[in-house]
Amino acid sequence: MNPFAGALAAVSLSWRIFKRTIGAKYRKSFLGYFWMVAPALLITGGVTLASQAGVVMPGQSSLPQALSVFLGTLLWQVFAEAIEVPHQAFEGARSYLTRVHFSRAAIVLAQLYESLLTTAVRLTAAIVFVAFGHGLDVGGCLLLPVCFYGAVLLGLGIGALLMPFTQLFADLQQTLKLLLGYGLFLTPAMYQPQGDGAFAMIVRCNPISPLMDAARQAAAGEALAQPVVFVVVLGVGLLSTIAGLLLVRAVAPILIERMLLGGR
Amino acid sequence: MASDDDVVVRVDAVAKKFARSLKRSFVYGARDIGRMLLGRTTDDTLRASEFWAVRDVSFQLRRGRSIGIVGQNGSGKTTLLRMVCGILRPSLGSVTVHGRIAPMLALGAGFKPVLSGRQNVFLNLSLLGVAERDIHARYDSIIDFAELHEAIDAPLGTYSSGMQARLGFACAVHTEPSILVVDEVLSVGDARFRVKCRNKINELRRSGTSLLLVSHSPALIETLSDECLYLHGGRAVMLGLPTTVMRAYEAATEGEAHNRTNTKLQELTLQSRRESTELRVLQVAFGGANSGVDTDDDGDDQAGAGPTWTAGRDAEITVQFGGPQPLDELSLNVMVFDLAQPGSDAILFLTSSHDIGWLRVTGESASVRLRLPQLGLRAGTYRVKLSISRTKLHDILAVVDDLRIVVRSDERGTASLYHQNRAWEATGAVCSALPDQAGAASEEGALLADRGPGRFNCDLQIAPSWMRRAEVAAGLLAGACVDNKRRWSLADVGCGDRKLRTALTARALPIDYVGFDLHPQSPDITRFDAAADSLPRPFDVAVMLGVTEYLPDLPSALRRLSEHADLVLLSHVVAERSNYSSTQLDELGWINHLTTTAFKTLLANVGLHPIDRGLVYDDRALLVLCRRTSTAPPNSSA
Repeated sequence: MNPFAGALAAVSLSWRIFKRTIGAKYRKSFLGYFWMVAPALLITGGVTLASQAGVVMPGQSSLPQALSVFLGTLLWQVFAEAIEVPHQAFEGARSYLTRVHFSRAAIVLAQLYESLLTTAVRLTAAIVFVAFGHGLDVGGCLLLPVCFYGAVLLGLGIGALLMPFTQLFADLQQTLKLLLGYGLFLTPAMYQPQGDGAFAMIVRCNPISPLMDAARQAAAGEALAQPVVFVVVLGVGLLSTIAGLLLVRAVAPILIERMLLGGR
Repeated sequence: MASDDDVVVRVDAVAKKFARSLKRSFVYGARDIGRMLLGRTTDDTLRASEFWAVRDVSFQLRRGRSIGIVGQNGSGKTTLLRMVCGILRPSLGSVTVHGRIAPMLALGAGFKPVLSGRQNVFLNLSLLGVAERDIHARYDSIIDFAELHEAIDAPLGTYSSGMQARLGFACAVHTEPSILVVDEVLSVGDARFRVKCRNKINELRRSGTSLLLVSHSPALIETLSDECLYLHGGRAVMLGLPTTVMRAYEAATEGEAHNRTNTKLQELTLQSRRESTELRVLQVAFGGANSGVDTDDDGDDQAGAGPTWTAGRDAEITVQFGGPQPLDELSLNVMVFDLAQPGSDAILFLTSSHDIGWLRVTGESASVRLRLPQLGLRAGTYRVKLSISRTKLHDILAVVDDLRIVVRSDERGTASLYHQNRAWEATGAVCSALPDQAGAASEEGALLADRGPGRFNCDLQIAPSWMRRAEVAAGLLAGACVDNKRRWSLADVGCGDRKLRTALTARALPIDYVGFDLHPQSPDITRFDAAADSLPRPFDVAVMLGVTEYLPDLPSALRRLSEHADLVLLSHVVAERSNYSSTQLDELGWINHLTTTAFKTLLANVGLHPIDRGLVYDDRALLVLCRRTSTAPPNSSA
């Protein structure tokens, strides 16, 4: 099978897996879509309260502070979940992987579709909130999806490149989980870093930061402050996703062998 | 030789290594990923804690054929199947598959419990590579097969394990596979469903699906496979006809069982000298029909190697036990477990208190013998557990576990769950020849072709079709001796492994059997004369099956044979029915390949008059029962 036909087969299979399994995820949930935006709403509420009490000093932004926090948190959530997509895809399909031979990239893609769907729900929520809370122009309407799906690509790429190792070493997976849990504080989601301290450097170097800034500027109807960085981050996201999926395809047998050995 | 297009699975010198230490295996996994990214191939050296789970195994599975894989636990069977299915990548060597594989490595697994049965069918078949429209087309048939009409929309989690297995099997067989890979799945579900599975597998096989089967059941291997691969310690020990390979496998298993029991019994003796408890088992002895009863035994029994019983014959266990003080209300309990069905309950649970009342031991030691007349266990290896308990509450005073007993049987490949002694009687009907195994001859041809030119292969001597021939021969003899009031004596010249005796025993004919081994599988047949001379007395019947084709001077051989018996039973693969080429004859090592007419002329020339005949091997071989005419005509050559 040539690579193109193989990729096509993987896409077709992944779509069928997605169709059959999507219902299962929220089957046990009554609130369904609400949980996709609930964390961001909670954090926004928390930060707004903290800021009113003077505990947190968010930076200056033309966007209302609550909207700014909401957008940032939502984008982080999208990014963090995308990082976990490849790992979760392999974990979830353990019982197939160890028994049937099929295109392994398909399960990552199927998991990705799920992630794209939840991202779409979050994006819709973001657009609705911004439109009502501040007003949104056409440019912002077009740029926001790019930011959101850029975050998905970036997360997926990083996740796919890390996945072989998180699968092999549980310690690494725990570390990653910890980072993703508290990583929100290393982003400009809740506050703009001030000055040139080490912490500010970390926050600025965080690959998701340019996307967050861009999303806010787009929502506020401003011009992008760092268009080049923005495009570079998007490009890195795309390339790392392609490289990551190729890596997953190549190393899948080694991982599956360990799944069987570990009996997990 | 079958063409290469016919090969659906080609396994070429595959090897697979695993690490014993789990932690290391993950580190090695990371290193392997690194190596792969650097474009390096895996090497054939073992790193610390690694071992070869499969080493240097090769075989080819052809379209419509089946290969059975046997081996003890940990011999690499499942690893090999997983490599064939593409789940594992071989460390070395290659696996080439042409066609769709339906893997049945664990049925019902891989389903999502929250999804309904219907969704799982679609999901499962998608993963197995069936197109959406084909799934729609086959959906009803799948549900019919799985018999899940009502439950199909309920979540799979609500299904019983049997229902899940049914759905799993139904999905797997509805992928229209060209290769079925089966790992002991025929033991799922209830008996009725198992029959259905078997029939479905047969149906697929008839339509040309190849089969790769792992099973511990000799009956299943022998009935379902054309060839059998025996793995031991990851290596292919043997690849050949199922009967031959199963025999080697069983012999090895028996050897292991014997060793285990012998060690155990020695330990017992040592222990009893050292320890002093309330009561201890001093000695255990297995007795039975295998010792000395069988005078005409072929000698390939590992006599004395370890305890062996024979199905249908008497068996016994003697347990010697004792303690420092007199004890009352004792009971000896004997439990027997079938090792072919791991995890199942004891198939025999015999309690002396239940059968004969409490035992009281007054002296230093006592001995209890349990006799089992006409043993009902089928052939196989069994675990025996003995215990001595006291009172109604069965306080256990002593236990001896993990003894192994090997049960042999004269009949092979039985599908029965236990041995039943039996006799058949027909009124208003006569027994003609037994049904010949269709395709046996072509099977033989294919195996010959596979081996290419070279020596005659003795595996062929034990092909299932040869057992058929013995059965047809027994049928002819039954017809001849039916009015006879006394027992006949029979000399089987060139008896090989005494298939004829087995066939005679099965028919319970009043015939005393004596076998003379000629090793006819060897082209060197000169030993015939010596054997003929050693016939101690005139026999009622002399039988020569599978020998006439090899004898250098057939007329004089037949003449000598007829000197020893009134009736002579011969087989000959006749030329006009078999049409073997000269190359094939060379491979077989045959000197004589006569037409029916020539063979009959020869018989007449040596003073043998045919009185009954039968055909075997797809009618290629003639079986002739002859009576010696009072005066043989003068010596003439055929």
